[in-house]
Amino acid sequence: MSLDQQTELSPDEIREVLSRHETGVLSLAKADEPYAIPISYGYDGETGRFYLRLVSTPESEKRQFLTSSPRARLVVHESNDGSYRSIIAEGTLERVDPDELTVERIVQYGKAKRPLFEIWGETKRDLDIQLFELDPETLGGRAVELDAAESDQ
Amino acid sequence: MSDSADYTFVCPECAESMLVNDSMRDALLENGCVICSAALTTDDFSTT
Ligand SMILES: [Zn+2]
Repeated sequence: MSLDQQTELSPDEIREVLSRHETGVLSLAKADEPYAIPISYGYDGETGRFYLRLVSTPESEKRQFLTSSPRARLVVHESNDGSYRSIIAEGTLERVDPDELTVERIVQYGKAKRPLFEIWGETKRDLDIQLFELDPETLGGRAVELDAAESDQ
Repeated sequence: MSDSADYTFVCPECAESMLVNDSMRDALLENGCVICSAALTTDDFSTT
């Protein structure tokens, strides 16, 4: 497959992809140690901010990576109708203190649904759920038309 | 005073508690618990 079948997504297309999904993979790093986790998010198309909910148990290794304001990369991707799209957002993850909640944040976190809770076999009381926001410094998306790639051979 | 705390909110599922005002209470009732997304009712709010 040659690179010219890969196209950059426009800002509008990126917004559309991000709005129709609510899960992605968040990557963090500590020195040269990588760490990637599935997360659920809400995306505000107007401000371009992501509202993330991260779940961990007290002994979870995730904690080591959640320093005060870690660098992070969020990947959201989809594949349908013979095309593959991926979005990469990069920036600093900011922790949201529950005491600093606003109506706006409540609405945005309402969009970050909970499918990820189901993978934890514990009650919510025993989980440590933390809220974060990601205001991406860079946001890019690509599309690859798989059908075009095959007919090229 | 739009940011005065009028209610104490305690989530029935994750046990998070916080002080909220009227508009935040309405938003929580509509959107669910901001921490764990549990559906909420007015019973989960008490006046301070
Ligand atoms: Zn809750």
